Amino acid sequence: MRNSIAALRAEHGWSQAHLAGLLGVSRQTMISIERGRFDPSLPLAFRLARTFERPIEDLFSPDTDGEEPGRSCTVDP
Amino acid sequence: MRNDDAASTSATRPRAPRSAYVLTAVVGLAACAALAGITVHFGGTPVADRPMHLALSMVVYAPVAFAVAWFLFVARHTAVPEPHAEDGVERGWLERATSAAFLDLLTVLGLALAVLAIGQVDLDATTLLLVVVPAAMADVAVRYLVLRRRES
Repeated sequence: MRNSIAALRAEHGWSQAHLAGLLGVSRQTMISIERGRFDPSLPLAFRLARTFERPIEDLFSPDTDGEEPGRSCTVDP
Repeated sequence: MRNDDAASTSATRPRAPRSAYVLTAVVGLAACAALAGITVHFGGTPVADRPMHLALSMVVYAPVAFAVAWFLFVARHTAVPEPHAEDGVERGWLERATSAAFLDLLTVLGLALAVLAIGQVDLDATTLLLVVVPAAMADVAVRYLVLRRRES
């Protein structure tokens, strides 16, 4: 998954340690999430969304590499 | 944006009082001496060899004795609990390391069983465990470190 955690954190002027403290996880966890090397659990993803007061879709988006052509996450209106 | 990647958190980590370190040293040393004394006393060591055996036993027991004392007296002050540790990346690394090491253990023990059965080799259980248990621990440790290096 791709995420915009680092950018949102910068908007709030928070350090990785501060955000990790708010979420109750280690700073290493935040580092790995921001680098895209670790996908958070659902409870953690929802806590992130709640902390930034954004919908979860604003924080995370699926990688499009290797996706089958014709399959899309968007819904036609 | 503040760069936290190289920042140390030691400034914010809680510290134990000096008495905790003193207790760790005293209790660790006492436990070490007690265990060594028991080993030498019940081990049937000749009286002339007891001082050396006592010293060697203390060296062997020291890491465990001091580690337990540290856990009891210092860690209670310095360890900061994570309310959601189950969501952390470290938990994932540990789970993957232990499950992969378990598969390694099954493979190695299966092959060893085949070799010993075919070769009709009698192996002392203590010797086998003395090799297998540290090897399994080392396997978990190495796998954990590799995952941490690769994914941090």
